[in-house]
Amino acid sequence: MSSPHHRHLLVVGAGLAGIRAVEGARAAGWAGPVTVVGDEPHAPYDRPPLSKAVLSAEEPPAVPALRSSEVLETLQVRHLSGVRAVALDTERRTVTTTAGELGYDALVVATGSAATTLPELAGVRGVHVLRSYDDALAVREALTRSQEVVIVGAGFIGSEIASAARARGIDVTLVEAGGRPLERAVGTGAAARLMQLHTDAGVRLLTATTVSGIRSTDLGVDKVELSSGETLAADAVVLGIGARPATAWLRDSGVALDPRTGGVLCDSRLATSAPAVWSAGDIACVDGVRSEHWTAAGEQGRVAGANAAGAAEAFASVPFAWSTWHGHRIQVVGETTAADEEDHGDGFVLYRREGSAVGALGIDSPGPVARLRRALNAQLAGAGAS
Amino acid sequence: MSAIEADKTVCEGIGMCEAQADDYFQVGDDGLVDVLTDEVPDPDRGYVKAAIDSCPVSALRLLG
Ligand SMILES: Cc1cc2nc3c(=O)[nH]c(=O)nc-3n(C[C@H](O)[C@H](O)[C@H](O)COP(=O)(O)OP(=O)(O)OC[C@H]3O[C@@H](n4cnc5c(N)ncnc54)[C@H](O)[C@@H]3O)c2cc1C
Ligand code: SF4
Repeated sequence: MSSPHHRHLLVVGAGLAGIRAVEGARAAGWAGPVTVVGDEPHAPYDRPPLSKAVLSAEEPPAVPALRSSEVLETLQVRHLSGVRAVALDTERRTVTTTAGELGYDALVVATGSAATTLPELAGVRGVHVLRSYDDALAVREALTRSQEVVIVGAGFIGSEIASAARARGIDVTLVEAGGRPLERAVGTGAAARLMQLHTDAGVRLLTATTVSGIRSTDLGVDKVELSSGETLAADAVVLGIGARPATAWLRDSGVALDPRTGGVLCDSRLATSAPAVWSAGDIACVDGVRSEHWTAAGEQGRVAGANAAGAAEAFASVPFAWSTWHGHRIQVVGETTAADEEDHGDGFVLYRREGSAVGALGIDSPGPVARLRRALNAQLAGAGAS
Repeated sequence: MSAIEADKTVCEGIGMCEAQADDYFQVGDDGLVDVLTDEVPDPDRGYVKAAIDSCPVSALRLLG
């Protein structure tokens, strides 16, 4: 049996949730060695800037590091970059990687998600997704060379790419399969306001439309065929159609996955169905809910790491996400689905269930959003205490 | 002694700083960060630095 000071914490996934897991474990007193395995070649970095600053800055910015090298040093974490986990054996407590086998006493799985692609577009030059820093550089490159782009999916990422493209004076067509952008997430009224931001900025938004085919030449994409029968010329196509949890490596591991989303099933303490295995971030399906936002990934990472180190914290947080479209600051707080929308004007939409405020969407209204967020946080803290 | 500098034009009101060091940072009624005490004595430097590093839009800086 290893002594508490030699017990090994292994974190798979060197993104936000993985790094916060290391911090959470150290803060909770984990004294043994800590290894973080990540398949990307870079130091752990932050994703939100990828579809914002990285696309719009004059010069391609450096990788947006999550922590300075000094901070990583004080955490005493061994980061294995360019190493991919391929299998997990929860009985032997080992993870097989492309660089050999690693044992663990406690394991946090935080491999995030992978961008969804359209199989019929796979391998076509000039078709991009945006998940990683390398993807962002490729999209940026494509934008600098394009006059016309087609962006598929008017969610947060597709919309941010549309903003960056418009800021460069590019002709942008945003193709959305659903009704209004983010309608399922924020309701019809708020979605109409979001849609207006795009049309005001000169984005051509086609709703209830899908891509039915693509014509390419040796140079790459040439034309995009739409379900409406229309054909658009395009120098580049960017897909922002969602992401799937990166859980293929966990199949047959004994860690239970959600049959619907493929996420890792875990309880509010982020414990999975397997002993000594916790999960956090975009990959985690916590009490049936998978959140794909920065603040949740960070907080879940911290809690998973702390619990791996012996704490018994529950994850509870008021959802919060932000985005910037055409220079407008968008913030979403709390619950914004299955609720009544109440438009307060000035870009503030409040959501109520049975009369009580449960969430809000703000467009350039950080004040009211912050006040509601504080109130919801206070409620959550109160509920947790009682 | 170090000093905190906040760039309100960059801050998105995400509140990571407040979550980690609420005696130094608070998201105000305008939804942007307020620095409550801008001088950081040496013993607090480490955890204030951690809060600053956790800002996802790098709106905060520690001088000195
Ligand atoms: C372009 C973009 C912009 C975004 N903007 C915002 C925003 O403005 N606001 C917001 O709230 N949220 C935003 N998000 C969402 C937010 O970034 C994510 O919720 C967050 O990064 C999730 O963190 P994570 O650690 O769970 O996963 P990730 O950050 O994806 O990290 C997982 C890491 O694990 C690696 N990995 C995967 N499989 C393996 C394996 N088998 N072996 C080893 N390593 C592996 C991956 O390569 C990756 O590096 C954005 C996301 C993207 C992609
Ligand atoms: S973490 Fe950064 S963005 Fe968030 S409130 Fe603090 S300074 Fe502003």
